[in-house]
Amino acid sequence: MPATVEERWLAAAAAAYGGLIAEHAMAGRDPFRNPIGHTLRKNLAALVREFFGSMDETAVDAAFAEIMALRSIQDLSVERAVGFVFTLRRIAREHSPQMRASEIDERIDRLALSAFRQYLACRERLGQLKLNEQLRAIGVARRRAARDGGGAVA
Amino acid sequence: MKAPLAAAVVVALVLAAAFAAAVPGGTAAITVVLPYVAFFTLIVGVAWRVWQWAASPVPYRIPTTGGQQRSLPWIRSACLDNPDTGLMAAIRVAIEALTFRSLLRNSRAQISAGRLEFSEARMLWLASLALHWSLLVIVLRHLRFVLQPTPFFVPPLDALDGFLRIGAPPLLITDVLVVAALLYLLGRRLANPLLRYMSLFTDYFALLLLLGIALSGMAMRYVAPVDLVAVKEFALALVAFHPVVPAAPSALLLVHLLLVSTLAVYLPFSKLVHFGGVFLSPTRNLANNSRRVRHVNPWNRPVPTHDYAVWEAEYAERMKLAGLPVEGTVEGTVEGTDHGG
Amino acid sequence: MADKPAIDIELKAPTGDWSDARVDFRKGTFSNASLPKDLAHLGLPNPRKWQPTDLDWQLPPDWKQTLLEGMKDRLARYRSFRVFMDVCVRCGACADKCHFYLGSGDPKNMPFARAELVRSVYRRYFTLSGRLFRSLAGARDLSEDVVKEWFYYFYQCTECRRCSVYCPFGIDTAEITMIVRELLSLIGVSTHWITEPAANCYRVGNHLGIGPHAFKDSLEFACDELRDITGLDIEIPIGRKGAEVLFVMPSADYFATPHYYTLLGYMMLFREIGLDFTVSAYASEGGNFGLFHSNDLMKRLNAKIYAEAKRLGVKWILGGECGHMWRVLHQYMDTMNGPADFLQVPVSPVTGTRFENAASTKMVHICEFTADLLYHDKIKLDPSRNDEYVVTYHDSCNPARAMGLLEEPRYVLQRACRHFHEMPAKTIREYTFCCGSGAGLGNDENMEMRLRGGFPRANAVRHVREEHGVNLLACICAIDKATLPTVMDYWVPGVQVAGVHELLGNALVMTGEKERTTNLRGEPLAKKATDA
Repeated sequence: MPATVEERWLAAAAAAYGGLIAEHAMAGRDPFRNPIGHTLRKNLAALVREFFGSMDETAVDAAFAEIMALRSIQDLSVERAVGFVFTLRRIAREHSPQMRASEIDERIDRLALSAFRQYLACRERLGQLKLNEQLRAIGVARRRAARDGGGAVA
Repeated sequence: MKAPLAAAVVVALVLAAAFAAAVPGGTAAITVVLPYVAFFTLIVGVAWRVWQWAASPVPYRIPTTGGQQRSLPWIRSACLDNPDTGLMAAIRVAIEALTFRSLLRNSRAQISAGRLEFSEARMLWLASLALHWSLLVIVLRHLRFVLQPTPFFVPPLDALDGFLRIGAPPLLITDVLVVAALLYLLGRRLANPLLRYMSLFTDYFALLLLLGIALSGMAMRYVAPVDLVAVKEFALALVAFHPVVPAAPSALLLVHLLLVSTLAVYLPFSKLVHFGGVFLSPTRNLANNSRRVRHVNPWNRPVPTHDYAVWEAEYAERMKLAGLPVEGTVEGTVEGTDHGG
Repeated sequence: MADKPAIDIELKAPTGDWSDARVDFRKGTFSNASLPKDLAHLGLPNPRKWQPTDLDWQLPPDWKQTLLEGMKDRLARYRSFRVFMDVCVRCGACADKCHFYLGSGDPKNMPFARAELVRSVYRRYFTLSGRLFRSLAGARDLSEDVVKEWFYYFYQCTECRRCSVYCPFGIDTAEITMIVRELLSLIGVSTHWITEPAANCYRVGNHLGIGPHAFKDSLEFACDELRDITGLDIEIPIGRKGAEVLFVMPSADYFATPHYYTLLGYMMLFREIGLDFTVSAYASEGGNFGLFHSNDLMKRLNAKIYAEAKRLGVKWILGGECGHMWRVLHQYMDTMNGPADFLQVPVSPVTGTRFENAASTKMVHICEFTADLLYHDKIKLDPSRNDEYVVTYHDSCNPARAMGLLEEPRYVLQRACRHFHEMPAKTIREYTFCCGSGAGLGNDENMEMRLRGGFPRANAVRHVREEHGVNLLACICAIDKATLPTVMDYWVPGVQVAGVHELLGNALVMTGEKERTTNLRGEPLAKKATDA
């Protein structure tokens, strides 16, 4: 079993992918040969620091933003994309018996909410991205329309 | 499970050979009939495969370019990774074949967070190189059995191979390398779940067969030495087409012979013919000069095109209105008709 | 709360076997099917209304025979196909080289696995061992599920050739993908985002189907904007016979942004050096979506360029910034539609440089042309006009790995801007990561898959953004310009995408121009620090 909280949590986050994707996510640390693993590692480490530290909301949101950008567009259901957050509960209890259970629960809740928030934000951004792309695809016509003072688009 | 099945097949082959002497005609089958069958299958099979590749045309010039093209005289081009002459392309292929350069690209070490990354990828290159070069040396060493007199380069090769001077007979470095490389490649295939997922029976079988050959051969040298003079007499007779069935061959020799024969038969029909591919791969053996010199497609065939006159006829009126030049070679409006080109 | 955690998820999925062909067509991960009208326009087989999510794909009754005969035919016509089917040893060196694999983790996106999807069928029907030993020899029956799997995974390869660089045998998945897509098109399986632009390009002249009159409007608008920016009257001649040079660009340059700013850049350059050129409404598309469909369609679309050069009587052809367009021009055009014996070896009218590297095809890349101008100091640049940009350069796959055009665009960039930083070595030049939307995948409905594919590239951009504050990704590919802005907005917000010649246009000091107050995008220029 992996020793540190980060590694155990990473294993859980990777396992949610299932099968071989999990194996890939865990393999290697090169950021450019395994960007999934790198992104998970980097941000889970940040989250663990916050979990046992000050629980700074901005830092938590930023870390989940990167993780969820990835998981929200991969072959994962919402439960699998976000659900791994809850595995930290057991890991934290085993790792820090001195930490109060209610404190752990409360912090897990806050992490989970942030994770959901970022997941949803990513899904919502997809719509805007598509729209922007369509607008760029007729960018010249739109520029013309704007220049002609809102005249008809050719 | 593919790996155990492959292992079972190899073990069955070993057992069959080991007990062949007990069956009437068994020794003759393994020492005489099979080597001939195997040898001719190998020659004809490989020739057939290479011919199939070489005979198929290369319609387009599609090298994969691994560096700067030769364009303007003041820009230094990567003449090896992006060859622009046939000669440089040949050198590119030769270096690829001799050093597995592309695998080396994979493993060029990267330092991140102060540590060397991806030794696994480097090991793949090292193990492949060790395996192939050792096999070559081993095959050359074996020429002493089938050629009389022994070719001049074999004794020095032997001496070089045994430079460690450990034990008697001296341990040959290629023996160690070939076994280590095979074990590594096998272990890697089994240990890496992604590789295991995609591996076929043949991937394991090829490695295990080679391992069996190497181990049985080594056993005859280091463990239960065989009478080398007798082996050479047997082999020379075989090569001279006056085969003599050895009176009481060692079981190890039978195992070795059967496995080698199996390899020879198997090789043309399996991925082991890959050695030919490296020389014939159009992404590697062609020069990147397709704009400088026209490459001809032997089967270039006509396709329907939408010709200018037909196109213009459809738009002529609107073009005139817009003040665009119109040739007017086709009268009237033709609704988008195509004709063969 | 109880001692036992309320939610504690322990998930493990079965590993499965790769030979199981069933595919789940999840929304966001595949491209829509071709429309019957486009297939009919192009005279392609089996036009019908269908979608990949349909249970019944309405394949023709003899689909299996058609595919197998198609394979047999291509095995005989392409050495590449035959060799690549035979020689893979599954060493796995290519595994983590595919951007779709790195972004999705899906093992069938490992290049050797993707190829194995068709190799298994090849073994089953075309090799002795496969016919005898079936699955033991890695052979698989061709079934409708396999057809669907091919569609899913071979429209999940952008033909970027990165795996081919690392393969000890040079096995090129792009080549395999091209052939499988060609096979699938034989039974009417192709995608809308490829066949519609191809049909438009064939009939009208460009992907969007803009007729010659509207083409002219678009270019005149560009001239109007150029007058505003530079104060100069700049003309873009269309179909002018006897011009020295025919200029061919991807059509996105005159209908989409940010491509359009690159068009402005080209035209300013041509005006400044007084190039005697023309564009063409008939050959108003440099891009060639035939490449993503079949070699025959590629050839049909490409034929227009030489035909038009001949009709107009130009001496040589100059090509704009576009990735796959240049794969076709560099590796296929001369072979398919040449010889171009009616043209002359390109010579720069300004520097006198003879482009010997294009002596046969007679077509020069705009970056080669501009780099030559800069080297001979024939144009004057003021790179401070690009000071707001911290630039990195994305090598587009095809110019990098099917051509080797690496230094020319960098030379232009380094002269045109003052803040330039390269991404990590293993992610640029011949190792460049694809945008994830090439080869006809850059459509709306495939957005999630594209973002997965674009992730490795974005990840490298993020690295230089964090290290150097990079805010502009320069590139020379129309598909990049269409899709990388989306990839950047999603993964690395704050990084814009621009063509190399947009930056050149910004920096270009033109004779008689008025003082620039905006860049080509119409954004006000930062006041120079050195200004008194």
